[in-house]
Amino acid sequence: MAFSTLFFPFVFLPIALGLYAITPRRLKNLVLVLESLVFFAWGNPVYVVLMLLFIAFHYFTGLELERLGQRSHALAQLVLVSAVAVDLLALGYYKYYGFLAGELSALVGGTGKVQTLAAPIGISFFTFSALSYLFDVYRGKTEAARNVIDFSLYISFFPKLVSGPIAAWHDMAPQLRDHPIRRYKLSSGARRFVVGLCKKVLLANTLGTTFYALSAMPVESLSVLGAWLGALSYSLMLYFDFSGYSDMAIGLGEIFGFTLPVNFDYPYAAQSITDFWRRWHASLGAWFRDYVYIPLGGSRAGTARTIRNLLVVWLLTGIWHGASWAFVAWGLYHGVLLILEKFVFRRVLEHIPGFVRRVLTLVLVVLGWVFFFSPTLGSALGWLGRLFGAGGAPLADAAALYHLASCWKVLLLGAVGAMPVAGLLGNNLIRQRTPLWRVLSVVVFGVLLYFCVAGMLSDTYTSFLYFQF
Amino acid sequence: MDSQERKRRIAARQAAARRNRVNQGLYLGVLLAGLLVVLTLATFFGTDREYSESENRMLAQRPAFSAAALADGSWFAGLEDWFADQFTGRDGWISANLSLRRALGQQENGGVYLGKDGYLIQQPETPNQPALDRNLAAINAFAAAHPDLSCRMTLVPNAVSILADKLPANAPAPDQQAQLETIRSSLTGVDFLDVTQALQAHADEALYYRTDHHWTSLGASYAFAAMAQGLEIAQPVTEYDIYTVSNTFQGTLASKSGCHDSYDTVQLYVPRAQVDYKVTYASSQTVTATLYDRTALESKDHYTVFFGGNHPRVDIDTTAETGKKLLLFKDSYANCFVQFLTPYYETIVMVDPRYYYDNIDTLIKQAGITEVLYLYNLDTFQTDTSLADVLETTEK
Repeated sequence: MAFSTLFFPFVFLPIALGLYAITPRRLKNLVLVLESLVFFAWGNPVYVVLMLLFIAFHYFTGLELERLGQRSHALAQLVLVSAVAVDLLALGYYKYYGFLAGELSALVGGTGKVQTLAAPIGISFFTFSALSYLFDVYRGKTEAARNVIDFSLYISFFPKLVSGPIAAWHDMAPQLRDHPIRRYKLSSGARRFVVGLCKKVLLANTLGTTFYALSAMPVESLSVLGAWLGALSYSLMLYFDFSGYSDMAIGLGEIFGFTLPVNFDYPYAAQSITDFWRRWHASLGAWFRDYVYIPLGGSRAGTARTIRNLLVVWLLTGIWHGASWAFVAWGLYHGVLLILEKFVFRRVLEHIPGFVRRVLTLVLVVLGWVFFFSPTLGSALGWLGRLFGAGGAPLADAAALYHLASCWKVLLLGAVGAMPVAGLLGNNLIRQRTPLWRVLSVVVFGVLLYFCVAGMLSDTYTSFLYFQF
Repeated sequence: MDSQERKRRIAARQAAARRNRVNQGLYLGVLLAGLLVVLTLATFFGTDREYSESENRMLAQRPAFSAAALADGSWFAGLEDWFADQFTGRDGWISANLSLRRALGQQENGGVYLGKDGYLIQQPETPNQPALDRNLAAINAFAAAHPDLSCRMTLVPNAVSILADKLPANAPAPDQQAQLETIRSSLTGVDFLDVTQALQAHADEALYYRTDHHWTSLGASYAFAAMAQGLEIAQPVTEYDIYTVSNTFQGTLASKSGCHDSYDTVQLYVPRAQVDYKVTYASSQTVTATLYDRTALESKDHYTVFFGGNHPRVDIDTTAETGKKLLLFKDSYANCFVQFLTPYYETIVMVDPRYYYDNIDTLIKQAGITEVLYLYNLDTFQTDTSLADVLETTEK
């Protein structure tokens, strides 16, 4: 069940919160775990068994790692490596088996078609949470979980289950013991949830109609304007979709007394690609930094090693997003940009004015999304070509003008909404202390909420983009 | 700016915001909780609707609980569907959403262009080329196998091309003129009767419904006038008794687009000719003395006033002693066209290949058919997958 379907805010959430509130304190986490399992079961009930096995496996592995860590480093390492291998195999089976088997079968002259199973929702996210736990315990950074209920909650907590943010164990462990409901958290959580809902339902879904109409056209028939409209509407749609979902997750977390990590900080206002990745899906970036980049030696072992480490991290980041060559290309594209930024153009960039740097970064990011949204590498290259008029693409055509007329207002709204000025405006509105302004801010939220409900009812068939990852 | 400083700044910003938001949160909380409670309770305890007029479909009902349904997830899914379908004021919410989207610039919804002057115009589907090729081959083979029958075809262009002026500016639309030309040039032994020019000449009149994908009786009358010579009708009647039977019609396009702003008028055109007829519906063996079904005007789809909708086979036997006996392969565009044909044929057999499974040669012999007419709208014809199956029953 997506947060942006009617059933969630109107039925599931009030029941979940009500039950949670009336439960005695020592049973609260248990109730949250059960609620999370129901949430997880919504799509495919039998996978609850998998989830329970998954939790048990990591719980006992954690205890074992801690026990062995005090005696034999080699044995602990062996346990860690095997556990990680099991996780990656499971993840690989659900997410990549179809792709790999298909490519192999095509290589040996087969049809390239294979039977696959639907992946459990959020598998990429909860697997990464569990891996963070194993690594933290192995390194002695934290103790292993003793309380199996708390640990289950860490893995399955429904606000972050399907699409993050990926909370690291060392951030979550202290909160699991104590996370009281507070009035200020309830209200700011509810507000954040509504903001996220607006981003998803009002902006992302509306931008989606333009993008999907343009991407349904054959690439060779796109005009330059059409290709840019498609790329821009996708860029904004993806941001509002994903950051909206993160906002809803963080808001829900707050309602239940948790502080989940911030995932998006106006990424399209970034000054460089490095900056972009501190602002876009920050919890995934932090995960790769803490558990891949730094263990590989980070940037302290010479230029050659640093470049290798960056390429490894970005190859993995690409693959994490999905099983296709286009995602691999997208990951490596960002890896190469980061390497260029760090080692080749560093001096040059320092002398460029901030505004120019921002525009340059934005263009590079938007070009990257073309790999991200294209089904194949070939169509990505085709689209990139059309952006710059390759193949005799006309500057504009009737279709592009039609879509421009349909979407320019939303693009403009989105462009403002994706910049820090939107947050500034919002905060100023709710910071006003005179009664008139207070009422006004509630009215604004009320109207937004009204249109969210209307949008949710009308959009029963669009679902959250990041579910497939 | 390093990440330490950023984090500090974010933390400070959040702390300040938190202090100031507490009071305002109370209003918002009341608003949120009120909205949730009222709408949810109203939905749970309200009476469930079975059918949605505006969406033209059956609504989901409360799912029955069973262990099996729980295990395979269908109970959860059913619960969600039920809640959304029965949500209090569903239709109102949906039109509110459409109003917002239109204010933001949206010019189409659910495959329907939101055109000028209240016109809703269906976006034609992509032609099903293999099926189209097969149908055309079957039509040509049928003509070759029946040299004694005069075979004719009329494909009615859709509103998207005739009413191009009503489309939103620059709206993508297929070149139906070129599509018609391609089809015409691939026919052998079949006479193609063009109606495009006749319709284009009257494009500023109500040739198509504003809220429905069909053409009007007026549109069909212009088409008939253009076809009469090709149908070898020497002196077509030009006087009609026109009856307006509805001005509250909201058709399929209103449902598809969710836009319920305008209403249509449905008119019957009865030629002033001294001809009586009886209409036999083969599937139900009912016989009537009229082409029209007044009960349709009490249902949602007023276009079904013509024959009560589509039937596998309808026979019309008239008192016109012209010796002309017509076999009409048709889609629903023909339903309002047949009223113009009755004075000139002793027999008209309407066959809708989408629902017809009997042998066509037997029919031709039994009814003594002398002419064949294919009458479709272009969009349906280019996506049809059943015509060839019916025509090919002759070769067995």
